[in-house]
Amino acid sequence: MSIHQVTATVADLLTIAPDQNRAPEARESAEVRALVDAARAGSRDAFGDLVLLHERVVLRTALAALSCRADAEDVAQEAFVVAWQRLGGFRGEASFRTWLLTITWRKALDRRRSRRRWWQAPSKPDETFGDEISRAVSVGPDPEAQALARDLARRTATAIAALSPKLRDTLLLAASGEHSYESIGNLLGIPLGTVKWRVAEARRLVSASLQSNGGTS
Amino acid sequence: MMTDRRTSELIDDVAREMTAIHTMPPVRARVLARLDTVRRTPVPYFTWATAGAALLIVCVMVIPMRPPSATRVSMGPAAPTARAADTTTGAVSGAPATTLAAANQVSVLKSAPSGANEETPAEAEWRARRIASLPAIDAGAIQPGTLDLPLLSMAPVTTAPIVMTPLSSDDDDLE
Repeated sequence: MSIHQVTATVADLLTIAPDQNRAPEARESAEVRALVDAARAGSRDAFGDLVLLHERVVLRTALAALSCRADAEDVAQEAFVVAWQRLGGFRGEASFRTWLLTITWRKALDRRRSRRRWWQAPSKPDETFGDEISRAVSVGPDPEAQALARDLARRTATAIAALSPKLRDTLLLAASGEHSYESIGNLLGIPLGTVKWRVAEARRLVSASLQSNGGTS
Repeated sequence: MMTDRRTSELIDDVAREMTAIHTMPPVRARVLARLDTVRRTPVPYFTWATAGAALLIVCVMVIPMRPPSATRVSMGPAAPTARAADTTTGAVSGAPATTLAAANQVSVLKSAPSGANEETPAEAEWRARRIASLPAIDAGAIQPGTLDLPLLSMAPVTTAPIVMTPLSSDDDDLE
């Protein structure tokens, strides 16, 4: 089996089907606005529906910053609780989703800073990343191809984790499929051109890392 | 070798997998359970903070500008001497006549009746008599004395000539 077949297997198996929960961020639906109004008036059921609508994107956003599922879940819960507390101050100038993700991102960065402060070590990716990637890859029939694909996926994940936080955050947010480049720029407080440059630079560095560490062949 | 496009796709796929959620945790239930323990803030914190700061600034600026409360114990003709030493004027009983008169004038003007504390007819009569009895200030009578400054005497600066001795040139040392 050639490397092209291996990488094609990796890419095809890891390619996630278009996310059905990918919410349009530009325009907020009337349903969401009604739920926000009801939640602002004190309806917990309405807020629960808002949580259901946004829990996936909030979790993925927190995961992009933290690379740890347990921390991401904690941050997601904190973000929703803070959103509930501050819902009275939400004026609707931005969409609820943008407002919620801004809270989430700040909470995630706070968690990352505190974690770094206590451990005095850069955050490492969750070990389960590699396992899940490996599980996704190990569907193919050829054991050799499976092993090669797993190794390549692990090395890619390691190279991404070794990026600087700025490049890694941007790449993971962009790759999550939940955000447009523009919304990433709003979230990170950087211009659109900087977002594009960071994604391209992150890809270049990961690719160079793969080439130097055993190559992609 | 992988093509650049395939490498880029691989990176995107792995990056997407790094933020993928395969099994959703019960976020909704946990969040709703936590809502019972938190108190909702209907107005953002910064609103209260801004209002508090504004109130503090107003208090700091207004309170010192308030005039001291006039303790008008007795304003009647029966005790006119007490007003000469009114603390609001800063005048003392031993002050020169012109100063005291001016101070009294200020004192009388300051103790003008306010809406909340109406002046009685006796007070008004007494005040009118006091104003009439005040001596007029003649600005022309003020004659400042001449300014006498002692002349400065400066001694001339003397410089002593500097004597320099020639350096001896020892050629032996150089060798």
